[in-house]
Amino acid sequence: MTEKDICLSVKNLRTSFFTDRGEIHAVRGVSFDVMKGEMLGIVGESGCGKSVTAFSALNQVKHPGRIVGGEVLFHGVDLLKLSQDEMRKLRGSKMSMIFQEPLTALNPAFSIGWQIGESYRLRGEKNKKVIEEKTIDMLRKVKLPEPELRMKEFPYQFSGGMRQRALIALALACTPELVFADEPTTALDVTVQAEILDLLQNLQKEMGMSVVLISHNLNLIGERCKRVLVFYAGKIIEEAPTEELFKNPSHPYTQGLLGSLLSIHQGEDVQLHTMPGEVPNLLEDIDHCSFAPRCPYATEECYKKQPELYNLGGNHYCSCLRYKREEVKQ
Amino acid sequence: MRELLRVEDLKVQFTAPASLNDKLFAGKKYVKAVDGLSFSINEGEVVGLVGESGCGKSTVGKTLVMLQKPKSGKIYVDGEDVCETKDEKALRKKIQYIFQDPYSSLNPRMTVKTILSRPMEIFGLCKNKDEENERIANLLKEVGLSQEQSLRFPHEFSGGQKQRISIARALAVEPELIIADEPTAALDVSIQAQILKLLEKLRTTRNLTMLFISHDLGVVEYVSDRILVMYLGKIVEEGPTKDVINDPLHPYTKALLSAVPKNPLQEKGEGVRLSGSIPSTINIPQGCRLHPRCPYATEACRTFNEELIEVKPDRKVSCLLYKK
Repeated sequence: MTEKDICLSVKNLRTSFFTDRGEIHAVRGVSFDVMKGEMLGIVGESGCGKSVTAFSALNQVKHPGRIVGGEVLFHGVDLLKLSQDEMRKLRGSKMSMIFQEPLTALNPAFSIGWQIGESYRLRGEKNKKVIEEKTIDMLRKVKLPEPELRMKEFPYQFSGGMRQRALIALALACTPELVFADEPTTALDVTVQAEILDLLQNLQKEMGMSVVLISHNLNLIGERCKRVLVFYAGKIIEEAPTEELFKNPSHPYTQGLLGSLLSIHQGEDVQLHTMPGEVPNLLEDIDHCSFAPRCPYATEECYKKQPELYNLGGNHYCSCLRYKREEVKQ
Repeated sequence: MRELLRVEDLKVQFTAPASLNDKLFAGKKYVKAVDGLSFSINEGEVVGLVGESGCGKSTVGKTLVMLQKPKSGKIYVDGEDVCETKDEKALRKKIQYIFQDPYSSLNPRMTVKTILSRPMEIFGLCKNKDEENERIANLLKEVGLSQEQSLRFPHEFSGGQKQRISIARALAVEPELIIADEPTAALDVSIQAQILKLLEKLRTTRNLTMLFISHDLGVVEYVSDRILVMYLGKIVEEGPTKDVINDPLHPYTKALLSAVPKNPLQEKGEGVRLSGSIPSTINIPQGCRLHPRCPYATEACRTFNEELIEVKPDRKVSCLLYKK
C-alpha cells in the first residue's frame, strides 16, 4: 500500500447532529482509506454511523447535522474545506452515491432517461442526440431491458429492482472514481438483491472504480468485499481482510455479530449466540469502550479509557483492550 | 398428534385499482394474493412460511385470523370451520397474532400493563385484580422484561423490547396457535437473535404451535420444523426444514437459497439464478407460474396444472421435473 494507491482517505472524522435533545455523536472519530479499484465493506447495525460516514465523506451532511472535525482527503484535497460549488462539481463526476431507497431517490416528476441525461447536460453536453445515446448506453450497461423505450418511462412504472438499476446507472453515468453504495439492496428481495450485487460487482471491475459497500448484513459484505470495516456506535471497532475477519473475529462485538447471524446450510444444529443489551445512547459523549456494558470480557479498565485500533498483524486491526499493544493504527 | 389447523384450497382476492378505460371496457381486475393454498399444522409444531414480498404470505396470516375474508376455501381450527363462524371472539382466543412492526402494533396511549391486561379482561381469564397482576408479572418475566417496566408506555422501549411486549400480549390469552408475521424483520441482527432465542425458549416451556411467516430463509431454518415455500400465492414446495434447506427440489427454492448471502468461508453450492422480476399478481402466468423466469422451463410447463407432487413422504413439490 503506497500513497499512490489511495483513492480516499478519511482521517479522524467526527459528525454530530444538534437536536433539541442535545448533541448526538453519530460518527466519533473514524479513520480509513479506500484503495483504488477496491470494494470496501462497511458493516454495522442501524444507528452505528455507517451512512452518516458516507454522507460526511461526500460533504453532504444535512441540517441539523454538522461535520465537527477531521479530514476527508480525495487525491490530497481536503473535501471538507471546499465550497459547496466546488463540491458539486466533484459529486457525480468523481464520486457518487447509490441510495438505499430507490423510490425516494428518483424524482417522480421526470422520466428516467431525463434524470440520467441530466448528468451529461450539467457537464456541458448540449447535443441531444449524444445525450440520448449516452443514456441508452448507460441503461444497457445496467442491463435494463429495452432501454430505448424504458428511458421514456417514469419511476412509478418501474419495479423495485429496475429502479435500483436506474439508480446505479445514474450514479455511474459519469464514470466516477469512487462510489458509496449505501445499503443498495436492502429494499429488495433476495433473488433481486443477488442480481443487483452481481451487476454492481461486474461494473466495478469493468470500470475500475472504488466502491464502498455499506450494509447491515455481514454475510453479504463477506461475499462481495475483500476488506471489511466493522462499525459500532460511531467508531470502527475492527478492520480486517474478509477471510481473516470471518476466521478470527477478534472484537467481542464482531464475534457476537457473527454468532447472531443466521446463515443457511449450517449443518446439523444451528447455534445462535446472543449479545445481551442494546446499542448505547449516542447523546452521551462516551469516553470509554462503547461496547463495555454488553461485553462478557469487560474489566474496570474498559470503563476508563477509549481503546485504539491495535494492530494484530496482517492488516487486522481491533479496538479492544484485550489486544492492547504498542502498534496502533494512525 | 392432533391436527390444529387445516387450510383447504384457500383463495383471497383484492380488487385491483383500475383506470377509467379498464372500468368501462375490461371489467374488474383482481389481485390474486392467495391462489389455492392447502396446508395443515399439527399441535406443537412450528411451520415456516417463506417467500418474497408480494407472494401473499402475510395475507395468509391475516386470513387465518379473519382480519381478511377469503374468497373461497376452508379454514378449520380444531375441526371447526372458521370462515362460517359468527363468533370471531372465540377464534381470537384460539389464534393470536404477532405483527411485524412493533412500533405500530402497540397502542401508544396504553401502559404495558393495560396492553397485557386488556385481552385477559376481554376473555375473562382472571377472577380478580391480584390474579391479573400476578399473571402480568409472570408474562413479563417470561419474555425477559422486569415488573417495574409494566407502568411505562411503548415509546419508552426499544424495538426489541417492544417486540417482547407484543409476544407477551399474544401469550396473554394462552392461545393454541400463534401466527408470527415477520416478527424480527424490523430489528437489527443482534436483537433479532435475542427475539428468536426467546421464541425458541417459549416454544419448549409452553409447547407453542406457531406459523412463522418470514422472507428470511436463515431465520425460518432456525425456528421451524417444517417449511412451506410460497411463490405468487401458491405453495411450490413443502417439507421438513432440514430436507428443504439441504436438498431443495423446486427451482424457485433453489434460486431463493442460492441468492441468500452466505458466510464466505462456507462452500458454495450450485447457483440457480432466475431471470426477470416477479410478475404481477393480476396477470399470473398460465401453467406453472414460475415458467417465464425458470431456467429449466420447457413447453410442457405452460400447461402444468401446478399440483403438489409427493416426491417422498412429507415432501411435496409443484414442478414438472418431478412428475413421473
